[in-house]
Amino acid sequence: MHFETRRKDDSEARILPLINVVFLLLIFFMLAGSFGVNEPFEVTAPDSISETAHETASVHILLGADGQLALDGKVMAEAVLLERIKTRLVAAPTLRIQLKADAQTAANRVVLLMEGLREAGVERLRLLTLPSMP
Amino acid sequence: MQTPEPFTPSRLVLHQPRRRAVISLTPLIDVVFILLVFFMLASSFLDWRSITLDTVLPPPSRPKAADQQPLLLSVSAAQTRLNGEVLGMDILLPSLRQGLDADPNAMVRVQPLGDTSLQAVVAVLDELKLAGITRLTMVRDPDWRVADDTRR
Repeated sequence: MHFETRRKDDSEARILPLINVVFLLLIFFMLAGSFGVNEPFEVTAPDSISETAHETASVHILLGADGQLALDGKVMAEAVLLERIKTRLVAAPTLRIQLKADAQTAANRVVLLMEGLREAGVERLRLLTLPSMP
Repeated sequence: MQTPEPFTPSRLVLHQPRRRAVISLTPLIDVVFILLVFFMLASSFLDWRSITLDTVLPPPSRPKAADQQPLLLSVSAAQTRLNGEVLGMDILLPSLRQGLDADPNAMVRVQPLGDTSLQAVVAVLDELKLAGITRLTMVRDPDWRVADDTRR
């Protein structure tokens, strides 16, 4: 009886460093990581040297390489998307919008979308980029 | 309970110091591991940056004849043109700056040609930004037509 309890205590003491490391990793991932947003289709943002830090915006538009559009994670047609944004602009006129467009999209497609947004009354638009890889 | 009085205290005294953990650690470790795996998979470490593309300027009342506007910078994957003339970026930048200095209301109009990818245009925007040119706006190529399946 006496011998058995000694062994049990020992095994617990031996995994304590492991638990410490796991705890540290857990805290690191909790603090350093930000949650990835689930997106309905894959979008690779263009590389840029832009240093402007990304601010969280209230509206997130996705533009895929094949021209698919999504507003806040929901795929929709361009007309519907502009209509929804117009409705939201009524409530908040200085709405911040971020656009994540695929690097391989035709740039004219992006300009076309920008014109549509401008007509809908959008003034503040940001294009998301990633720092370029050396 | 029915143990004689003298035995119980002595057993307690003997075993108390050795039993440090009242709760077993194993379930705790399980939970911590599950949390760790969750945060590892759910978090992303992408370093997002952004380019401001405010759509305030130019006002829509501007004349539509884009080709007649000065400082029209056309971008394609292979080359850049200033007002229709093929020029390298190093030659372009001084003349752009000159044009901007001459007219405080002038803006560089960046126009992607045809199916130029967004990446190529962003690269040009980067170079303009490095050269300190901030008064720019994007205009659409009038000859470009959106493919049928992209405007569902």
